[in-house]
Amino acid sequence: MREFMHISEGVLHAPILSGGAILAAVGLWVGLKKMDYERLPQTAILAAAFFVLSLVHVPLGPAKVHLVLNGLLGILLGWGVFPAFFVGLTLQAALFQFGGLTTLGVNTFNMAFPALFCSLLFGRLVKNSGVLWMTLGSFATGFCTVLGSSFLVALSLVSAGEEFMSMAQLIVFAHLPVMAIEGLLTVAVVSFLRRVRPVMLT
Amino acid sequence: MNKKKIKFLLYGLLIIIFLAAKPAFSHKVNIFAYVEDNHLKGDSYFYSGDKVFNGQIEVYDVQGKRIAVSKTDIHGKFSLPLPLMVSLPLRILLRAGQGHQSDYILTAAEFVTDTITSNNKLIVPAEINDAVRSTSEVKYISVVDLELIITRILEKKLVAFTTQIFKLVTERGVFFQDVIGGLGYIVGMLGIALYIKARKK
Repeated sequence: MREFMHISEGVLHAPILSGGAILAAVGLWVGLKKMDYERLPQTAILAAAFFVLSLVHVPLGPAKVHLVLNGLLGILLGWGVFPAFFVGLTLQAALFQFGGLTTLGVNTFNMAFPALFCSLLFGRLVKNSGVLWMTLGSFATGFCTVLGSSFLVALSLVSAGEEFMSMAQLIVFAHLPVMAIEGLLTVAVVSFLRRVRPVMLT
Repeated sequence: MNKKKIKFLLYGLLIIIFLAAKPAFSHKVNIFAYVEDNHLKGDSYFYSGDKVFNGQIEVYDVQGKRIAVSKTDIHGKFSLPLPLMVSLPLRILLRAGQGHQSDYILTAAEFVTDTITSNNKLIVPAEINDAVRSTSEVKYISVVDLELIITRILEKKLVAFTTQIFKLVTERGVFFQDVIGGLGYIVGMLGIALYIKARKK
């Protein structure tokens, strides 16, 4: 199983690249506008966590996977996921040659948008209710964010001429275990934060 | 469970994840190509060292025209007959699927000079004279045949050499310094952002 976060340079066509760049720029702008002074360090730390964690590959059966954390970032940062992912992906492209500078927009959008969407969808469950709902909400956020991201990546590649069903199988279905792990991890971190620093979840 | 226990458990979990994980960089795909025995051959692998199986190989000439296609075998290798009289440099593109691709430019400098004409056209050398192969009957070897034999040997010897150089250049991997550098950049950006926000206040 290959990781899916970084689409290489030269794979996608110009309309998709520029579309992704524009959408990412909008997200980035809103994210920066909405970010207040107190949220800045948190965003930076989570961007750093994302930057490092994608290097850490966890063996999962025959495959190696790595955590994406975008569900968790969505819950904790809201619109701030756009700047966080943009910074993380830029540094990964510049320092590790993962992905590339032309695909930065598409990659940022593919990772950040599902995170934002799921955190808006399940955010109330995560933040305001009892333990059961919080658990379900966090799991759903972690799971669905990776599902959404892999779906967007598959869709981007389909636009470049890949066949949809094979892409869906290779990327979306192959990442089902990752989605489950992300879901569980999100539950673990959110329930930990709820006990220790509930302020971070508001 | 009290707070301390949970904290302990979480840290334990994190440590286990980090210990169980071995850094494998599957993100990038590499391709390397060379010419041997009138064939364009090459090798391909992911950063993790995994071979690219069934990757699509496309060969483009200098005008960007696709002149040949092939697939990589289970060991990530490929071999295809060299088309006659192609214009150099050749671009060999590997599509490894799922958004991974990479290319290798085979320049005139990487060929043994005899096979290149003055205007960068590639000539595939003729077969070595049959008389040369059955050594017992050979009384003399023509200069042309000798040159061909030396060319073949050179090609074989140089492959190992150039492969090693290529691996040295591309298999840099991710250095610890890069990771620390990246974290430094993030801290720096945070500092700048905090400064700008603080001035606005």
